[in-house]
Amino acid sequence: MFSKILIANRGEIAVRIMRTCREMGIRTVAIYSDADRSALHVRHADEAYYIGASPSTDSYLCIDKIINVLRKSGAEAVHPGYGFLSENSNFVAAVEAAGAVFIGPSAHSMRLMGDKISARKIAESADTPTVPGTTKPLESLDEAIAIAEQIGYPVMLKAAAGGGGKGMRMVTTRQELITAYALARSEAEAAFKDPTVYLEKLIARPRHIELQILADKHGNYVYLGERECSIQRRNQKVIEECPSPINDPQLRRSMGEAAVRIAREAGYYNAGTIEFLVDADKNFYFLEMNTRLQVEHPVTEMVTGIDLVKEQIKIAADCKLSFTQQDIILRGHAIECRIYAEDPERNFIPSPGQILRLRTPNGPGIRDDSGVYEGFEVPIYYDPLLSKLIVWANTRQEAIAKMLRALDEYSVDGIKTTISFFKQILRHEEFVKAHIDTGFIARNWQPSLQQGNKISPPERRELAAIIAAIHLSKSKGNSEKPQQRNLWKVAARAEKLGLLR
Amino acid sequence: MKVTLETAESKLSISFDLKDHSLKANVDGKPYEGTLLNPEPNVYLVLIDGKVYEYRVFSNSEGELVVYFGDQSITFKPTELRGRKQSKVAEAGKMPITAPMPGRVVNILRNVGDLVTEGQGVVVVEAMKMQNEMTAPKSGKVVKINVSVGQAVSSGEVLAVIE
Repeated sequence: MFSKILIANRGEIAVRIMRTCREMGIRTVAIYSDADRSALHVRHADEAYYIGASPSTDSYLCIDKIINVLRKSGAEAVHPGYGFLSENSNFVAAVEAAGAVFIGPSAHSMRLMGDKISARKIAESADTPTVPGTTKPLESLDEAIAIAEQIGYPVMLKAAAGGGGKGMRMVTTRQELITAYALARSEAEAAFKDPTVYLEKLIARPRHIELQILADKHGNYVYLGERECSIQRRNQKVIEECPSPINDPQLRRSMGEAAVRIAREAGYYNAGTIEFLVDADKNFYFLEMNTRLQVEHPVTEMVTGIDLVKEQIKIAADCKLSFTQQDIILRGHAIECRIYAEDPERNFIPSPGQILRLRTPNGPGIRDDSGVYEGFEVPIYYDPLLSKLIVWANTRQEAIAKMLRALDEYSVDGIKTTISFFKQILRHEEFVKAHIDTGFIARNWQPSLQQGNKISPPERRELAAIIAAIHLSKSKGNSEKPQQRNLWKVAARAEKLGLLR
Repeated sequence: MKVTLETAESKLSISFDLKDHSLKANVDGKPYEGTLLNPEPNVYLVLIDGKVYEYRVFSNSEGELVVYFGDQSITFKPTELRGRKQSKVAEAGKMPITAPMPGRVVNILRNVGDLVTEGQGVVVVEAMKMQNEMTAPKSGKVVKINVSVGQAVSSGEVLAVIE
């Protein structure tokens, strides 16, 4: 087993990986940018190394800088987390060239499955249906228009190197395609340094259901049940559950076996996720494979009792899986809400800034995988995910009640978050009845309707005014500072003025 | 103690009397009586008829008070601050395009002098990995572009002006 692992990521996922490492007696190495000097993942690590300026292109996406840290720290393995370099096969090759182990698949199967176009071919040879669309990159806008008109609108425009909704656009008309083509390419270039995009036909009211698989380097494969990820906005998941409310043992088995067939076809090992679209008649179509740990992996962990990060590390260390398909039992129901720094009342625009006060939920069945703390300045440079709130209960209904309770306990003052939005979703009749598909949010939430949902009784507002008046009179005279001073900013300013040498 | 506070919608006159923890207050003539506790800095508990209400209060960089309760918040401006922050009076026929959040300008789609129709993109701002197209609030001519590619912008900053 490894004695030291470098975590090539930031935020909640870096913290989550470090927790498992610590339980396994493995030392951890963090990397950080300017904006993350005092981030939670730095505080959790045994060692931390500075890798550059705040934009991820100058830090978390710089292979050479990370390899330097790998050499300097003497770590024997690298966990990439999700996002950043986690699906970059050049990074895998660089880690291996430096004599360390990449905790994930081989560069070869990552290339095969990471490229959405060649992944479709693999799925086809593994006898799994795929969504109609292009099987090669779009060369030009004209080609995009021709193909869209051939398969018929609406279509989805997607980044070949993509994931997480970045560089992805739904397009319903030729006019929209013209704008979306340029935007998707530019977003894909910014996020993945690869502007290649492709087209797929849009399936009406699909559910997004994905299968978690684990495979060791000795040819053993298991599937760990499915995750229902249909609650999405801007093609990005916001709520996930395990199991899916529509899956029966038979569907789970056929999807699970298809997922394993695809992984086998690609010679895949470590943790991976096969995403499917499921239509109203429970037909499923291969969508793509994520060759890494997923954001929403905790719901699977809660229901199967398996620590996926621990299994990833063991697989990377050449261990055999310690369980077979028969040992996998799904117990109870888990739900995850992604707490984003976004303003649900203003069409989910990002809301970076300082967290003035933070209270997180607790008690039976609650798990909060967080990457922030009270006083932390949430940077503008990275993904807006602050934390993932996960609950577990015996049934879906109980899990919904528990999540509502946990969200009531959760408060993040100073910046806007999606907490209030989740409460509305979890109380929505269609969600409660599990009549959901990927269009649920777009259909039920118009940005203009959002504001009206939060009118509080007049006495709560008047009491708030009284408290404001009392606080004002208390803070007068003791010249209260408006906000906690950020010492890094103070030092940087002093440095610019030549006050520090 | 008497205080006047303003919200986005209304103006409130508040008077209160606080002895030990016993609170008597009045908002626009409506009386409130209860117990006030301050268990930790910036956190207040009001107990009225056995009900517990929790509030958290912070002042922002503009000197306004932001009161949080549950997942909601209200911003109050003390009247003494009135006039200190000058609201920009819109010039006749000119409309600004402002940044709705802090971020970085990644693309400028129009030049000064270009004609745009309402809803057309003018500047692209990126924050937290999401690119947002800032669109023209009305049809007209781009008369000013205040930003350049790569520049960091703060919330509310004027990016461009349409006439």
